[in-house]
Amino acid sequence: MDYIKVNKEKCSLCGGCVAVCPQKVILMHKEYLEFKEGCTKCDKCIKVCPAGALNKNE
Amino acid sequence: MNKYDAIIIGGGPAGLYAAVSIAEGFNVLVLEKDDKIGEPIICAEGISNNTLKNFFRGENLPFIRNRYSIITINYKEKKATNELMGLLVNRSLFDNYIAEKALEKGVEIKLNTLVIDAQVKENFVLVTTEKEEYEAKMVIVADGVESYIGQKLGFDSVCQLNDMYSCYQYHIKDDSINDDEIIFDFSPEFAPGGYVWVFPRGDNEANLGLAVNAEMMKNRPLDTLKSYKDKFYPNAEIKREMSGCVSVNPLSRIYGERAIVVGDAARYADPMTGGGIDNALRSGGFAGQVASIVLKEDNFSLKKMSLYGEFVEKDNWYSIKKQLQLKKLISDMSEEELDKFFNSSLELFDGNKIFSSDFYSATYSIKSKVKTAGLLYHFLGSLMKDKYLLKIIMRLLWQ
Repeated sequence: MDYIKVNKEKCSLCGGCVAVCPQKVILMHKEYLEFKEGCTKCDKCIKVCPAGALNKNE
Repeated sequence: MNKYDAIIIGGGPAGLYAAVSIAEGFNVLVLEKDDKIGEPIICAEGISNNTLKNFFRGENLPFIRNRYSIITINYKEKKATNELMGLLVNRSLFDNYIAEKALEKGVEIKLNTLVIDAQVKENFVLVTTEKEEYEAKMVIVADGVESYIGQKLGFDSVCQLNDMYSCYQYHIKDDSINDDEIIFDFSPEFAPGGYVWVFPRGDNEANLGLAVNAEMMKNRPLDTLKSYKDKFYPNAEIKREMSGCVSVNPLSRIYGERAIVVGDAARYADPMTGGGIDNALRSGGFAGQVASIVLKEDNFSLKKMSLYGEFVEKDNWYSIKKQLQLKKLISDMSEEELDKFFNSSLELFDGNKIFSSDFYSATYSIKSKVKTAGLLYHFLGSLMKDKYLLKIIMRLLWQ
């Protein structure tokens, strides 16, 4: 299971999470975000999201 | 195998303008991940008159939404108004306008094509998309805030939270919106480290948005903007809403062997205003010029590519660096210092002519009042993209 869960309704694909990811494991596709291997759970992507569209997958 | 002279990764203003700026006779390909140029729009759409003059002089422009001539700056209860000419563009038409020019020059644009990797080989760059592979003599990385390929090519494109502005924007319609007035609100209650903007689209419509420094952010811009709207535009109709992010502080290295990074992918947005279009066009233009030279000479060495760094540095690197220092100064101010600073500078700013020698004396007098004053003027210089104005401010503030 992915560490991050994306709320597709809220996500505008603005790219903030991709920009701040220190591991560069997020790739923005045309219609969705892809989370690749190598996440260190720093939570910066969650922090930066203007719409609160990213959350931990619990 | 598909072979090109130059491949541009990303079809936004920076990439497309780079494509337009490469001399004719070269084989140029733009790869864009979306289905359409100019969609989806995630932009506040404001640009300065000077940007228009610099890049589209004398052209018949189909992308202008609205022109404004008044600027109002708010800070808590305080308000100051002045003259400032600028305009709002329809970003979708804007991007398409540049794309048209590129197509006329014979540039090939491939939509719906996401680049997932790029590697510099001995004599070419291997560009990999989801579907196929391409070879190019050089690449221009223009994949925006969400830049992914810069890192693949060895650029450090990780953005620090402190350099990131988390934004939310409504497109609203409300009778109280003045089509002739652009508003910035610096009240820290709403936008710590950033500001709220009201950019008039015409017909009593506006882009109402807010930018918050990601490190200083306590509440989501989504929620804060709602409370701002409820307070100041309670009856406004929301036509569209979107989140966005603006990254500032240019990459430590913006060129490499066979590669150049431009626009938002280079974190090249204006550090004070967050405006990205002007610098996207500037850096795109330089990238195109340098590409023409290196392709003609068939020399893609680091030394030759460094010409791009030189062009950018000569242009506005210095003012960007100084603006970053100013940005840090404000973000380090306590609320008390902010009050003091904004109160005195708004007083001076209100109704004063910005151009002419008045400007010099006004800036000088606020400088003596408050250590960091001049910031608002600086902000204006930044808005107007007026190099001369910026230079004077720099001299005054940093002599």
